Amino acid sequence: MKQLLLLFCLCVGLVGFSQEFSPAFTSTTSTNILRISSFNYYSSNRFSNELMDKFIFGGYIDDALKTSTDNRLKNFSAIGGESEQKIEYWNNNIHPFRDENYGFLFSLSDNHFISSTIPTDLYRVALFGNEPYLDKTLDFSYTGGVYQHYQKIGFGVYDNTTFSSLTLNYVSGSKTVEGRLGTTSMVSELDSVLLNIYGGGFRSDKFYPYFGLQGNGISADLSYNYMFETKNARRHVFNLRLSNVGFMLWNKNTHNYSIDSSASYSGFDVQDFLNREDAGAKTYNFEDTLGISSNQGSVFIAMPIEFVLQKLPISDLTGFQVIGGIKTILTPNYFPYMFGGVYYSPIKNFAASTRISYGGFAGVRWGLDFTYIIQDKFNVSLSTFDLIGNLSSKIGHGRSLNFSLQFLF
Amino acid sequence: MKDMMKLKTLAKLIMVVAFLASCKKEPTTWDADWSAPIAHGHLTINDMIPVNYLETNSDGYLSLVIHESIFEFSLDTLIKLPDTTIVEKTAIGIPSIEVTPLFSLTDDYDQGYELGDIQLKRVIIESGQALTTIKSPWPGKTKITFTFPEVTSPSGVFERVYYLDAGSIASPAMVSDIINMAEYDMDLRGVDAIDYNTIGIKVLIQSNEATDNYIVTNADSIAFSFEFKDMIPHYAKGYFGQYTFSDTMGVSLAPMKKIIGGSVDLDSINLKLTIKNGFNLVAQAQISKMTGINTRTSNLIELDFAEKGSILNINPASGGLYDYVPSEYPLILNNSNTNMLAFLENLSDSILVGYQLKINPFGNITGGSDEYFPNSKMELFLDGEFPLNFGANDLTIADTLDIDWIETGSLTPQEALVYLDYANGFPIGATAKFYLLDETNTVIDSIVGSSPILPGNYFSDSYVTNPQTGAVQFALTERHFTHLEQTKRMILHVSFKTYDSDKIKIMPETAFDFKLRSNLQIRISI
Repeated sequence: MKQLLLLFCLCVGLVGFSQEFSPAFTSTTSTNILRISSFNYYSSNRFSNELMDKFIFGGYIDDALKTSTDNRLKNFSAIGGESEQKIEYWNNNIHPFRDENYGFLFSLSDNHFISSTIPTDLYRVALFGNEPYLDKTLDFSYTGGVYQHYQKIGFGVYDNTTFSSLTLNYVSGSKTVEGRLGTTSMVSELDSVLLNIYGGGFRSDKFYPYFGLQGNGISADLSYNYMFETKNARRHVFNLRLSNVGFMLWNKNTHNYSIDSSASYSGFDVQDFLNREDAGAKTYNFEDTLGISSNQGSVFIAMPIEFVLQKLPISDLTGFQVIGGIKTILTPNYFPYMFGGVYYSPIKNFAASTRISYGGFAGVRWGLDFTYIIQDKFNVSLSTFDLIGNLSSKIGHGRSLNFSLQFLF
Repeated sequence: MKDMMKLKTLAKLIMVVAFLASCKKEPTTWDADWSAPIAHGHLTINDMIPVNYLETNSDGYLSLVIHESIFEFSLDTLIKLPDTTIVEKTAIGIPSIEVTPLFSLTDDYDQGYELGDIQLKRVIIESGQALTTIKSPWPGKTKITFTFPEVTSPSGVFERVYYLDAGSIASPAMVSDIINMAEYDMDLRGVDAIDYNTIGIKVLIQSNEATDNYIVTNADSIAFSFEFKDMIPHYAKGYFGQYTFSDTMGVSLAPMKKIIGGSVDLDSINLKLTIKNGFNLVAQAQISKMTGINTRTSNLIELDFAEKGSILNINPASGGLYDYVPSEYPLILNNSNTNMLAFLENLSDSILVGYQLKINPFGNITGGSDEYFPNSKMELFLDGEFPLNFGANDLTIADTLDIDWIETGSLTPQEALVYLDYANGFPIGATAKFYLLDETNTVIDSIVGSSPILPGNYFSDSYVTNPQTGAVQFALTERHFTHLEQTKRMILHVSFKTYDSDKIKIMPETAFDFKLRSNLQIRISI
């Protein structure tokens, strides 16, 4: 596995190109642009690949790995990821406003989004059990997690000079699960377990098939490119992007849960079962003991809004360009993601960039991207946001792989 | 061309990486140590023995008491009212007659009820039915009234009126009816009140024509039947016959078969066996044999008491239908007039009882005045007091439990320590062993506690027991869990030993407090 990843990263270095997240700005006179892109990453600020690989690829998590992870934990740890497979098509022959400055844009994407916050005590009790923590208060407050799988079909317009665009999307929800805890704690003693728990959540009724059709929504994606020249006639492009501004209505079969209780479990009392005619009908119901209430009904949620402000490289310029920006997703577990780096195009057909980033679901990461360009015809890119994660399971905290193909005709 | 090569290489790499990422080769597993309470309890003797069976005796400690009917028989054994059908035909006594609208013909019958040796004079019916069928060949409309003058109910004399259309011999007119006989009081002494098992019937036949006359010949017989079905009496009076019931029956004491070793030392027993007669009739009883058999030790012991083998005259019940009182014949059995202690200390798992019961041994000496009252029965009733003053020396009980291993899904137990923390206020200690049996009933493993449950410290002068605290640890290894998955049955051996193997007394407030908890190492697989 390691050898394959190493091979992959070397190939990225030889063949790759820009990150999908911050594509190079391309000025073109082509009428049609077709882009097929794949944007994938998962990352964590505390959990190493060595541990996460066990959950992804399987395997036994031994005490050494559990302990070394535990030693790195702070109060909260985050794990998250995104996966977007997308097809976009720009057509400059179709003018939605009967204005030749604007073209037509169509996009189709399949998106997975996962985000979670794991308190240290929750990690400990899940991996070690409660026995090492007897008589201690384990704090699970603000545990949270969300997973969404949806498809977007979008129609929009774009400015064929700046490539600024506005897209309106129909969103089809496939599956989801979301849960959050408020102030929650557990105290285990030799003869009792006390749980104070407050929280809620919901999940879609089914987790199959792949296209579940269990929710409907709409969203808008705005991408605005601001172009200017400095005194030395050097061109620059700033990109402001606001995506997923909209909502999703998960259907009436969605399961809703809430819990607000203080439950103490000390085993069953044998006197409830001895010499009682109703003893046979007695069962210990943990759901009732915990005070979990549930129902089925529609759930209305805001989509995870994504905000990006970045300086884009321009593909037809050679030499060095500075890149950088900030991204945030409006979800509790996502720390604003900041990055900065350089883009270098020694010749017209090739460009490479590197970036240092911090935030999102992870800490500091190093990214590389490579682009091969046939001007006004074709380009292909391969990139990673997390080269170290791709190479090392010991010190890596996630993985990232992006790929895009772009045809201009 | 080089570009194409690079693209192909890239595509292959992406496919390989995607395949590896999507293909989980083995489950994710890890071990976690969980401490969890399992059960707890404050067990008094009332939690082990129903409160109805316990009393505090005059010495201030507990006695096990029994007030139960151990043998009984009721009416079905003595009186049965079989289904019977009364069939009669009514015809005129002359060759022919013209029936006018004012015509009437009366007839009456005494119909016998076949009951064998039983001679009933009166029965009140609890439940049952009478199915009536009438067939008339008379060529004009007819009205027929049946009256059972000695059959009454709270609403009066039993009487039914039926209207039949014109018929013929070839095609008689017919009516049917179903009558609920519940609560009917039937005098079975016949029309003249001198017989028994006899139902008196009066029949009135009239024309039901308004103006027309018609001719009836002596061939035109009106046939009627009354079929009494499923008759169950509420009260019966008469002579119930002379019967003798005798048998030697084996009574299996299944719980005693669970004792597989050890002995008990009892102090005293007080028993009262009462023969209760709820019938107003004379009876005689004889207990000829009472043998206790311990099949484990092959020991047999005969219970001896003064009345054994003697004929006991059982008086009739007194009172009437609504206030009868069963007669009682008590037999007092205790350790001074019987060998009851030895009989019980034999730990018999079955008892042979030989008995004889005679009903009306002297025949019909009451002139047919035997009475069955609602719910009355003949029974052998036991009032017993067993003071909880005994010694047990490794008294070992074995019980077999069927086991269904519960699929643990993604949680696989690896090792477990199950702790029983206790404060034993009983002056009785215990040791438990669990044997695991596979589907061929072969012992494949055993689970043994780290130490016995120690008895409380007993003071024989005050009967007080100071609770003994302690802990028993049951260690379950991975081997045990593997065997538990194959286990179909589990044998539990519990050996009891009283404090110093001596006789102890159990006080009402005695209790056993315990907490059962576990340290469980589980392997989680997802």
